[in-house]
Amino acid sequence: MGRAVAIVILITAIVAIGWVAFSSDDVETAADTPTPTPEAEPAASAEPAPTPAPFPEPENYGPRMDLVNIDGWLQTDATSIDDFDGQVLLVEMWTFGCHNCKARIPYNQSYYEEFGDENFEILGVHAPEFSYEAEVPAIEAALERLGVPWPQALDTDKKNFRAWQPGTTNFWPRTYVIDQNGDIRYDHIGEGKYEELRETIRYLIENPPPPTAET
Amino acid sequence: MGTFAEGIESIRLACSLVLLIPALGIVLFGRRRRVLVPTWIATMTLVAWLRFVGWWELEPSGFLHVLAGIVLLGLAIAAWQRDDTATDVATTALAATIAAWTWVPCVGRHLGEILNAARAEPWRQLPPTVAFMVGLSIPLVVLAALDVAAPQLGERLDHRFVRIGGLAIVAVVGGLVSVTLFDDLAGELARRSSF
Repeated sequence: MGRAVAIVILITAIVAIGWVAFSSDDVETAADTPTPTPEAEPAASAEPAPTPAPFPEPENYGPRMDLVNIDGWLQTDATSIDDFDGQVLLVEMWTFGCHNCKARIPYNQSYYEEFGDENFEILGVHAPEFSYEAEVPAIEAALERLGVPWPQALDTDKKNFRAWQPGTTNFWPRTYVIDQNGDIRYDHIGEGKYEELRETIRYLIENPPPPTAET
Repeated sequence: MGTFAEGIESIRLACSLVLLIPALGIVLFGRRRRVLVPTWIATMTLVAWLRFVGWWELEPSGFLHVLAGIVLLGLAIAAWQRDDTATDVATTALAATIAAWTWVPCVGRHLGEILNAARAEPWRQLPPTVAFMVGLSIPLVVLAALDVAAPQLGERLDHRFVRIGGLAIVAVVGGLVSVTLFDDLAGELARRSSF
């Protein structure tokens, strides 16, 4: 590596660090205040807005798994994921110390507000990364602080966190939507795709799948 | 560009500590940073990408993981005694492999896009994975570039005690991995820090 190249890399890296450091506050602020409008808004125009294409039927990824060896349930009387059967259920694998999990919370709050009176529920599966995230009082304090009112299943040893995610690589956060028949209709790793998630929930509430023999 | 920026942002996340702790050791012990930093980034990126696309399905626990920790501990000691490029590179490559193997990422918007598409289109997700990992390794890139751009400054980092400190970090990582306690160290650091 020549000296000139090294200097260019050095300057580029320092500028990139500075740019990210100064813009990250804006990113966090934006994440805290989700807009209920679609992520990509059309430009203002005098012409009437085109009718949006109907949201396609969400893919069916097959039946959900069970939640096993749960260490406790918070903010609910439920004792099993089966207690949520028949509802559109957003299942979020998360932990309160995870930045990206926290960034999703304002969006989940907006879904809770928008669809809470309908046949919809959110279930957090709290899978701690570090030991301090496994303490129940710490989890309860975090739920209060973060404004999370929906039920929580405590997956302290991460059995379900691992079992629900294919392969040996698992991620925080991971979001699923389960339909009224118990089938997974949405599976997303990480932040983003908030409008797609909203439309998936809306679609499933408005277009419940025909009941199967089991349901 | 967004993926690269998200990599830089991820430096301050507790989830990244399992990558950053051994990286700190490597960058401190390496007099040969211009070789070791690219080795670190390339190995870490390769292992992470293989995990993302589902071609690396080894559990980050059990016999192989413990064995890797023991070998890393041995390599760190050998690197101190031999002080040659080959041993330093081998130590770096193994440390990067263990770090990327153990890492459970917290996933933002751009890394999420990579991960959601990785199994369906593995090769197309390699360039953005590289961009993310280079962003995440940017402090190492700065130090390696500094070594070449301003050798006098780089030499100050090459003090014997700095090298001992770096090797000690790598040895401790190897030791903790071998007794399956590396995650606990990262967790304790995360709890004590201001993340």
